[in-house]
Amino acid sequence: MAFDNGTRMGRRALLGRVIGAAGGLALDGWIAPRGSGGSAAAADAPVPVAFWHANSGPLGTILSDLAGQFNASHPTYRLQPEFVGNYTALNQKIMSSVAAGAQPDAAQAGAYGAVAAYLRAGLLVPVQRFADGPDGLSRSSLADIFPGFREDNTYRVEHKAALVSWPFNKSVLVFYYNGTMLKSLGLDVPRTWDDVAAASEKAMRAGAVAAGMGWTPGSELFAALLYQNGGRLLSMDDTSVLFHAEAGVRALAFLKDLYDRKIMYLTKQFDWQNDLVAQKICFAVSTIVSQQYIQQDLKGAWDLGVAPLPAGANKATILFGSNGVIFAKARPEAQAGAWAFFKWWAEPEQTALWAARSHYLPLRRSALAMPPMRDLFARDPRQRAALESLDYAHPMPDNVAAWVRIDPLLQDAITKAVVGLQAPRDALQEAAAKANAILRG
Amino acid sequence: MVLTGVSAAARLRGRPGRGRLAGYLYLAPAAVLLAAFHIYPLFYGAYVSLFRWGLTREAFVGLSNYRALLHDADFWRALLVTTYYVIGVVPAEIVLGFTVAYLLSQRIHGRAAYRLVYFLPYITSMVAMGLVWSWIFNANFGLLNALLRVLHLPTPRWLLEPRSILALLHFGRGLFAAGPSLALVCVTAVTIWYYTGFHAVVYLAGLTAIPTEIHEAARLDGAGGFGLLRRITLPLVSPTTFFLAVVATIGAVQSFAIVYTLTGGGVSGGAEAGGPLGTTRVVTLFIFTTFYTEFRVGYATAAAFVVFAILLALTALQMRIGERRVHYLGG
Repeated sequence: MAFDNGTRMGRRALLGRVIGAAGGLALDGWIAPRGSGGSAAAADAPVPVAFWHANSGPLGTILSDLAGQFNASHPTYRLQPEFVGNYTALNQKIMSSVAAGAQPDAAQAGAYGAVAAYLRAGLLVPVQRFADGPDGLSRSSLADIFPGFREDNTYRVEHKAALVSWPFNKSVLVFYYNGTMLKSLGLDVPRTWDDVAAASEKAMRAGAVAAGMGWTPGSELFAALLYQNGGRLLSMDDTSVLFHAEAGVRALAFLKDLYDRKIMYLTKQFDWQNDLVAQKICFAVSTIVSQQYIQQDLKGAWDLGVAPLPAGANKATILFGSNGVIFAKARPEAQAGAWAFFKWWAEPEQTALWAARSHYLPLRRSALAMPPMRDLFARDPRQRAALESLDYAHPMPDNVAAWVRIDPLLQDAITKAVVGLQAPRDALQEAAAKANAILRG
Repeated sequence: MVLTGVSAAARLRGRPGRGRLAGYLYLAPAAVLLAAFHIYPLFYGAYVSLFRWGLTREAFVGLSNYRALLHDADFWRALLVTTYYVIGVVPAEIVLGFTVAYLLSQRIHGRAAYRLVYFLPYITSMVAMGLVWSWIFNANFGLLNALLRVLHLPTPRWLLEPRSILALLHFGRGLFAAGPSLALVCVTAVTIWYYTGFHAVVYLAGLTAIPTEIHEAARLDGAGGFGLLRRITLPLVSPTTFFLAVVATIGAVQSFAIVYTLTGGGVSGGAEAGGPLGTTRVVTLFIFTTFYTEFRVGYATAAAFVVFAILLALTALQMRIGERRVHYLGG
């Protein structure tokens, strides 16, 4: 992948710029007052940086506030955040803009596998180029960013590992529990999966809930259990899958056991969330961001608890969230503006402010000492649960382009095994054979 | 001066060059729109399908995308699911639509209210309707299973059930080969519920177009009841039936929103849509996922062209059959 895609200009683009410049000059002569003042003003005008994102509602408001602060502190640039719909819509709009040759300068890349696809199509400038540049990051500053977030944004570029995207809004898989119910049943907060099973059975026997947990089958909880068993989803060189090894088989057998013992039932989409609020279940696994949605529905009816994901043989959990990308077609000064924003966004003050207001995670360790985070912990100690998990959190391998086709195979294998259509080992082996064929290309 | 239609036509006949130009000018707005939004995309789509095309054009591969589709088990499964869906939806919509229209064409009390009730689903937001039905079908705490529990009947997993209805009834094995999954049957039922009102309204128009004297003459000749329906009404609404069969088949093959909403799309972005285990993954969902989730634009476009060819062939077949069986009044 060439880093300097923006320096070559096609004939059509050149013609466009000539016409644009001619039109600009003509308009300038027509509208602007004569003299050098106009040109000087144009030269001093802040560089607009178009940034497409998928943060709606309160999240969009927080982002707009922060963008305003960025613009105030960086008069050279004018960041223009534009909400373009949910992650799917954002991705569709970016695809359309690519076809029309009119990408934004930067964007949130939320749809899974999106960054890998953009990179493969040569649409991105890897942020490594800016991180290593004169306005880059020191080694210590980079090390301050949580390792999982760095890993999540690292791709192979020309056979070398490079930061391609930049962590933006990140979350992690955590464990939710009905604190009021556990207290009334005399149960402790589960720390291991065995505790979860035992507590669920006790709550079910007491007639407090229909089941311990509701779960919409997906690869993330399976992956967390696999990592807890010491396994990996992919080989170190990303050329073959490993989820069908013993660690994966045990992880899937465990999920099936929870289902067979009726400790866990299956749901669709976010139905588990409604069931948790309605106290039909007492436990759930989701990202830390779900907390605000559950709280909103709960209206204080009972005490929602948040804990790190229960441990198996080891501790492990999974990272979620989107990353920021800079497009190669953007003008160099707009790319520089986008990088300035990303860098500023990850600074302790800003990332702490974003995390405290949005329930997403701060991007770096030093942000935990910032006043907004200290206030948050004082107000709501549960927020620490997610942060405690970050030291052992793994990203899903979205930085492998083929993962977008492998993940549905894995999801199907998980569902087949859990509902008893296939033995866990057979289901995983079948999925692995197909996945390896995809990886071989 | 008032220019009547006749005098305008006469003037135009007098100046053939101008008349032709005026004709083209009248056609131009529609032709430009058609060319820009239908014809050009069609040809451009054909062009894209000949390339390995991710987010951008990569390499010319000729018919390789089409050849790959022939060997793609997921594509064939999507076609099979679509076939089950079309077979389930089209005849039921036509039979129910006609039945409702026939009953509503009789002199009954509250006819206008019934017409409104049957047409109401069709004017309801498809997404809102999908979400409500998702709740009705909710396997754990849905309305349907609550009712079944009261009646001490088994409570199926509805939209979460990948096994075929035949397998559930112990008549077959396997996921796809043994017929549609229970989840697909649920989606089919909701589709029928949604579109029956539309079919009924079109049938009502067809029924009211039948001259009353034909029915009266048949009655005078001794026809009545089912005979009148079978020998007079049904043949005379056959153009409507033909139209609805063609439109419903095309609509069913192109169905997307209902399946997407009921099977997991929408909130989560569509990654799970078509579940459980792909048993509701109709061909439009296959194209959508391949295009927007897997970023295989050339391949997805080739799949869209294959579906287009299948639809074209199906419609041609329907036209051929329809020509022989449709009775037009005065024809």
